[in-house]
Amino acid sequence: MQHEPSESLPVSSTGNPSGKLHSAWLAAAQAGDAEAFDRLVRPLLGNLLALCRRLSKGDAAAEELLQEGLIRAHRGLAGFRAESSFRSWLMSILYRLASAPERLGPRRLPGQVAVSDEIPDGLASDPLERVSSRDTLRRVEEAMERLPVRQRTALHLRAVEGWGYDEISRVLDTSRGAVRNSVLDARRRLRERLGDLL
Amino acid sequence: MSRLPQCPHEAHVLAHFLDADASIHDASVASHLEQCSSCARAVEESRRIDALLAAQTQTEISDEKASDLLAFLRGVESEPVECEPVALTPAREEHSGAWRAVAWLGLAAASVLAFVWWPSSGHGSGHGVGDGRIGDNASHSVAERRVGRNGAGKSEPAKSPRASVGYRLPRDARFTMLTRKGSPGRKLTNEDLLAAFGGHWVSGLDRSRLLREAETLLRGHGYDTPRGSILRLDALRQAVRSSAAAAVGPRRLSAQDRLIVAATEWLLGELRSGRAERSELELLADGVSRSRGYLRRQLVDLVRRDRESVAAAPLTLRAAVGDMRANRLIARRSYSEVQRAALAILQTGDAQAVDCLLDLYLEVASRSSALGEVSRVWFDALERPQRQTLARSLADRARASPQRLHKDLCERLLARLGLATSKP
Repeated sequence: MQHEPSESLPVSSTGNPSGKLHSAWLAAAQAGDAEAFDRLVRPLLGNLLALCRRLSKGDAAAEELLQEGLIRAHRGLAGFRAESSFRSWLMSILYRLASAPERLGPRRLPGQVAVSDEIPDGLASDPLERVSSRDTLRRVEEAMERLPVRQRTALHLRAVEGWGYDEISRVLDTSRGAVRNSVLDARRRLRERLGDLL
Repeated sequence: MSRLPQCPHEAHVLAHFLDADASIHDASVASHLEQCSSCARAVEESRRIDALLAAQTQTEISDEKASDLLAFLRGVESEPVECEPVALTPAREEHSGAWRAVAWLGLAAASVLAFVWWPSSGHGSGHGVGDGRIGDNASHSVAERRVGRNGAGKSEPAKSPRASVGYRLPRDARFTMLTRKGSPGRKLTNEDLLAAFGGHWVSGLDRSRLLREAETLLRGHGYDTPRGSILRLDALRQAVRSSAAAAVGPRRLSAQDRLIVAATEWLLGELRSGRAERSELELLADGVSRSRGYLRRQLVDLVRRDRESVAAAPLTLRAAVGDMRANRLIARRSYSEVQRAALAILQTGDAQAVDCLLDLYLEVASRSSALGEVSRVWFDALERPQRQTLARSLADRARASPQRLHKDLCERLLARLGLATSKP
């Protein structure tokens, strides 16, 4: 892969690239500039990792999934035609990787869900509340984990990322209606399992 | 649970109110929601689910974490920064280096992990005990056995430290999850390696050549299946860790250390055949720098044997393995780089390192007496056996060096370190 000198890349003061900047970085990254790829991907990493966590069992597996996805994205970047947004494209790579049979593996038994020790800000402030929040977290994680990957991804992108059905459909490579049904079905299943929490 | 309402309009209502589905233009939806308590509850519960999911999901990531995640790609793509000429042929297309770089970053991590989490100490003569033994194969390091076999080390026959490498488990070591001989094995996965590395993630090992090396290596040690091998590795780790013997005895190569050594040899082979890129040696240099003790010496020996690769290696690796020929080049760099190189040489921890460090000091002190003064502190960190080596080396150089300046520097250093017994 040829490398273009990255010094010529425009720099964003905010860290989030504007349309023009994004296009410039994308072109440079497609020409083999690793720094441009870094700039494109870095602002999205948190969101990508969040999806990976949702689709994986544990933080380690999530990071592994993300890294594999990044490498695939980097290798396949030259073939990215901008028919969808860059973030949709990355998410679709992660979704496809997570859907691979070898990654799905055996499902966990109830109560075996790994929950991070860290309680996200805003969910619990005092110790007592934290205990119940941990239980809530565990149950939500468990319920999510029981969902098929497609529904999990659809609901995550809708509820957490706030994406519309159209963009989600590009990630899942399916129709808008199918996405809508996936999201609704996922919510219905969660309501069944978490009824007493809601 | 059967508490859910089954209103036929529920899907429309939810899509309309929660997801702002623009395709639903039914004005009656709103009025339906006012009348249908089950749909109202569905909307409320779904909102709470969305809120819960959003609240428990962290989408922020630290810069450090982001850099860690992207370091893989840098390893693949970054151009080497060293200024020395490159003697290697370009890598072939099918060996783009991405997965190798991934594996090698894993290797760097593995070397740290092997040091931190696996005490890799044992005792005894190297003969195994029962199921717990790694086998007589372990009495030679993998690298040494392979070098001997493939002829790459003809000029320097492999040493056979029979008594220094190998495990002898405590008598009470038990394995609770043995696989039966002949049972079908499965491919190693990261889960297996996770277990073997004590639950800590070793990035990038999945589907890498390193895994195949691991399988070959472990099969070579007499284990029936890779799965069984890894399970035993984990049991071995626990047994060794909990044993009082872990704190005593000579440093030995753990099974994972041997993986690292095997992988190092593989990379050097790839370099020799032109299938690896020079930039990958940066990762190897990092792996060598991070490793300690016996593993480090094994890696250093292995790299030094491959003179061709070392000559073409980045200065970081040359410093890490104490390659004296690099000193002149290193001494021309900024002093911070010189310091880093000196630290890398010090960490090599062998007799050659002392000479190499002295050589670097003389190069630096010859160029700048001020920097020479500052650089003397390098020698304060030496341990007693190394100081004895240093004293001999200084005395030899003070006597035999053709350069007057070097003679003086050696004598002054001898005096400063209190190593001079009498001035010649």
